[in-house]
Amino acid sequence: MRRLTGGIAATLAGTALVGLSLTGCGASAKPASPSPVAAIEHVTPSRPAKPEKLDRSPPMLLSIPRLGITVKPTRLGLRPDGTVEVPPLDRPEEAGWYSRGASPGERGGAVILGHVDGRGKAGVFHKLHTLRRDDTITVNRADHTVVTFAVESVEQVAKSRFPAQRVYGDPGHPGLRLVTCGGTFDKATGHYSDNVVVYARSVTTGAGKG
Amino acid sequence: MRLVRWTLTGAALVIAALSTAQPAMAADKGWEKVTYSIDDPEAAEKLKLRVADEEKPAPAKPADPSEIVVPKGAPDTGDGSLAAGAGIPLLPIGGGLLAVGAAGAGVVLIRRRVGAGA
Repeated sequence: MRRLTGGIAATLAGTALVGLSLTGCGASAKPASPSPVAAIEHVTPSRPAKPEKLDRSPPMLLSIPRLGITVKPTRLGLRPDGTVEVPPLDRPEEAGWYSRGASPGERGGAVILGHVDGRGKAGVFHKLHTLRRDDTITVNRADHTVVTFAVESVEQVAKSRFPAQRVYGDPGHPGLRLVTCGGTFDKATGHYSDNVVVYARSVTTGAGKG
Repeated sequence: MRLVRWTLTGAALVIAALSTAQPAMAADKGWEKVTYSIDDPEAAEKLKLRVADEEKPAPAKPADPSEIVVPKGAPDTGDGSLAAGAGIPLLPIGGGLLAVGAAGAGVVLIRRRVGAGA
């Protein structure tokens, strides 16, 4: 009887997992149609501070509802030359968290990078430039907390004037920066002219489902 | 009668021993499958579970935010494969236009020559 019960339990658990795996998919970016980066909004942050600082905990899931993006960030570090690692170009649907900076929800500027395109496919942040102020971004963290960020500004800056300190530095509150490429693509150099940076700050935190 | 009683008792003991050992094995087998699914990063991703990475310690970061390592340069996040105009070979198009133009000029010249001779 116990054997039978164990078998039934295992079967039910397996069925539940299969069911969840079929309905819970969506860890990749919604494909976006190619379009040049344009109409970037420049907004001065004015949201009142609500510093609910959390301890350090890696991001496990990044969701941008308006863009239909749900992705599990990988971890990025530094290359030997001191530049930041980015997700591989042949997997442009991935996003990566700069793990030598702040974690989302922690005080500091947590940085998540993603491609605008790669190998002929739309990247996870292909439509990042279309975000607008007050759009929400949620991050599920490893400690089961969920941090909701509100977009403060979306900026397009020349790579030659990339504001590294503003992006990676400490804004004094829990911030989130999403970074991708933008502008025009220079075939001679093989690089985009600009970067698109979304600045967001934490507005709420809560307990996630475990 | 005594033999029958001992036989039945022995059989009962054997059945009891098996019934305590096998269910545990069966249950372990079942959980092995479940655990394997959860530990599989892809399955965990689909399930939106945060199991595999939970046990990994968070990467070290300086306590002082001013000591955060700021990467050099600007991130290069794209290969231009979907950029407007990127990937279109301008030279071949230009060459094609030249060829079409030259052919058209030839046709015009031929017509003119034909017309001139007529």
